[in-house]
Amino acid sequence: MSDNRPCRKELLDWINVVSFAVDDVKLFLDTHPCDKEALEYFEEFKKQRVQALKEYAKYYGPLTLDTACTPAERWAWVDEPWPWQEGGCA
Amino acid sequence: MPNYRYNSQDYMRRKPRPQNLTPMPEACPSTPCPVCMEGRYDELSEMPLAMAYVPWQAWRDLYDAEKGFCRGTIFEELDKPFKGIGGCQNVR
Amino acid sequence: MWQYEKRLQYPVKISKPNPKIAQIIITQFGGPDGELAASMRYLSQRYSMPYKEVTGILTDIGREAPEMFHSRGF
Repeated sequence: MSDNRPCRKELLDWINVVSFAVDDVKLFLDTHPCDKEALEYFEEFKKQRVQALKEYAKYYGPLTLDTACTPAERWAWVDEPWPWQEGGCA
Repeated sequence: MPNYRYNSQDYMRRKPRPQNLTPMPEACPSTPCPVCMEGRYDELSEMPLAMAYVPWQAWRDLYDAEKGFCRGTIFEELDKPFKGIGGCQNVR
Repeated sequence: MWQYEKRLQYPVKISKPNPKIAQIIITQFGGPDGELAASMRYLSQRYSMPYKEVTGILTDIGREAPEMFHSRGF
């Protein structure tokens, strides 16, 4: 295990936080499609989310199919725990 | 107008609330009246009657991402925690 | 088309399972006026919505409800 491996829980918490920000601004943009500040906010948090998801997938397995690393020796997507299981992304 | 209270057994509000449980006051008991608008500031008083309004949201008063996540909204104006006291008219 | 993410939108930790509360949550989710029914209505109403902004909103709100499928409270 390398020293700079990020803490799983902290990284997942961060993914939850930035993903929620993206979710909420997305609703605002649906009714305000030209709002510059909202668009910038979306860009920023989308970038952070993509980066955090990539990093999580690198150390702990993919959370989305887009971050499933290939080529790889095995298909980590099927690994447990799933979110509703003990130790899952809850 | 009767003061509808949130009744946990009737939370879907399918049964109309019996009128005789909350009798209308004969005269307003106090000012501002807890039942009607008498004596109470009404910020909608200049608006045309008989229409429903939904104010247009503006991009302002954002929480930090962490706080937004905890509160369930990134917009401070939309942070309206449920207090379990039912339908209130313009109560501040 | 749906994308699945292997995480909950908000973390859930049940320290004391409570069947009574679980029952209430299930009715709020799956009952006659439940979130799932509302979600299906929103997703269906998109197809005849004349305003694209509202189509977007119906899509985005409609897909929030299936998040609740995950809850271990059930």
